[in-house]
Amino acid sequence: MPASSKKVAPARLPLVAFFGALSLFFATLEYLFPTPPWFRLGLANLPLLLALDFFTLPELLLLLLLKVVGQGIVNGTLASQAFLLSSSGSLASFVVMYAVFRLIPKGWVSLVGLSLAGSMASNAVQVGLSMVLIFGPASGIIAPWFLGLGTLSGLGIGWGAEILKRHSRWLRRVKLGQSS
Amino acid sequence: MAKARNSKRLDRLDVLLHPTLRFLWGLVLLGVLVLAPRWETRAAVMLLGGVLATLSGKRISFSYFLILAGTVVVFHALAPFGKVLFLLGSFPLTEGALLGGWKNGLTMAGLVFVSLGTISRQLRLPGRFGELWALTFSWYEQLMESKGRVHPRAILLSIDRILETHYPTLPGSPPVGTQEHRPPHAPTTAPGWFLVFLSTLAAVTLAVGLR
Amino acid sequence: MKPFDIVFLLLSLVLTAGSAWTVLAPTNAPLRLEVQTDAGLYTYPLDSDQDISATGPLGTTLVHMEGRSVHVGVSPCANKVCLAMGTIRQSGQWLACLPNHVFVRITGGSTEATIDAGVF
Repeated sequence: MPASSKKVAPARLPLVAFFGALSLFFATLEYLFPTPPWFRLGLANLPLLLALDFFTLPELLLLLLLKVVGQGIVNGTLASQAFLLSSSGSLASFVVMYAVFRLIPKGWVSLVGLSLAGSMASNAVQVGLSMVLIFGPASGIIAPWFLGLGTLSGLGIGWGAEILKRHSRWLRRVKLGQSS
Repeated sequence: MAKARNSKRLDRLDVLLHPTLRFLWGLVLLGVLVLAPRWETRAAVMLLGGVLATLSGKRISFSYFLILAGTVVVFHALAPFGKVLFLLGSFPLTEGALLGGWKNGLTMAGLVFVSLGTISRQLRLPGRFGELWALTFSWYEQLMESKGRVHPRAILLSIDRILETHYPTLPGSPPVGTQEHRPPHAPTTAPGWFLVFLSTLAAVTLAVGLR
Repeated sequence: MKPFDIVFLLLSLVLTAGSAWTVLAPTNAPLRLEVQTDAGLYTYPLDSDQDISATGPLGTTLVHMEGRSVHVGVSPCANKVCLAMGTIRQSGQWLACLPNHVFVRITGGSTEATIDAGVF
């Protein structure tokens, strides 16, 4: 993990922007998978998971902002409740994933565990907001379904991220190039 | 389904409206939608949003509206409130809960439709973040054009090749392009201004008149 | 899988199961207020604070709900017995303004009143 700084170095901005574009690209690919209404797989989190390893905190936050705002603009949902749910879920997910990444030694948790932790946080926040703002308290009945599906998708996303991390030559070259 | 799936359908509003004005117009309509006291006003703004979304080239369907509004109504009905209309077994279906759910459902659908109709992909954001977003979106469009090159049987290799194409990392590769070359958007046309003015006036008049 | 992968998987499953238990476990019906008038039956959750205007042949009886308790605030009847009935808080308790055809009772929870409130 590179040394933290309070700002993003200008030379790193293109890479952050490209990872932002990857998030949007993966978010669009989500629509190829059939899911229940209101439920998102979270493929857009893949680049963020991969970047935890070699982006600084300011870079990760910038990536998160690009992901959230970008999805709102690309999908046209920036001014709707979907944006509120998505951004809240993304923020909760990131906070938990980053905390786990920083607090637990590398050999004790993989991207699968990080993804599961993030997925739990994201879905819990989104269910809570749905109950308070959209569907009312009675909609708590959807919580088990969302959390259950979130567990499955968290496993899947984490597993996919681990495969990319181990086998993507492009990713390996990016990490080497950025650290030299 | 009311989603923008990188559709190739023509955005008819793009030729009439500058993206920034379009965004601000959307915010005003959303304000009317959220603050209007009567469900009839919210329904009108929701319908307007549906028309705008369709003109923007987005696919929206009546079934999407039914599912969205219907789900909200059902969940609200599970918390009875007000005059009992009839009993389902021992469970009361109440006027207050149904009306509240209907109003909320219209609002949720309206938020989605208005947003789809007034948030343009050409929207430029201010400042340095805006420049970064422009670069991100440029790369996103390039990646989307390469989507057909993803091969399920060699998914990792094909994705790696696509990534290398757009963000070269091999030794001797040309430097990564960091300039986003989008020409400035044309200003809003006279018909565009007319549309914005008329629709906003109608929505606000309806909200104030139906109180 | 690494140790904390399993920890988070188990946590996730426990959270899912816990939410399922909370949602699906049989519980007592929540306390509700029912107001019967000539215009029909009205129902409200007892934990909502509000004033309910119940209209009858004499005028409007105002039923005040606050802090999970209910009392009649104002009534157009001559003898004001409904006001003197005081405050109700528990399931099965009731208030009535017979001249104005208003009957108020708390339902739900573990006990239910057996009074037939349908006839004046």
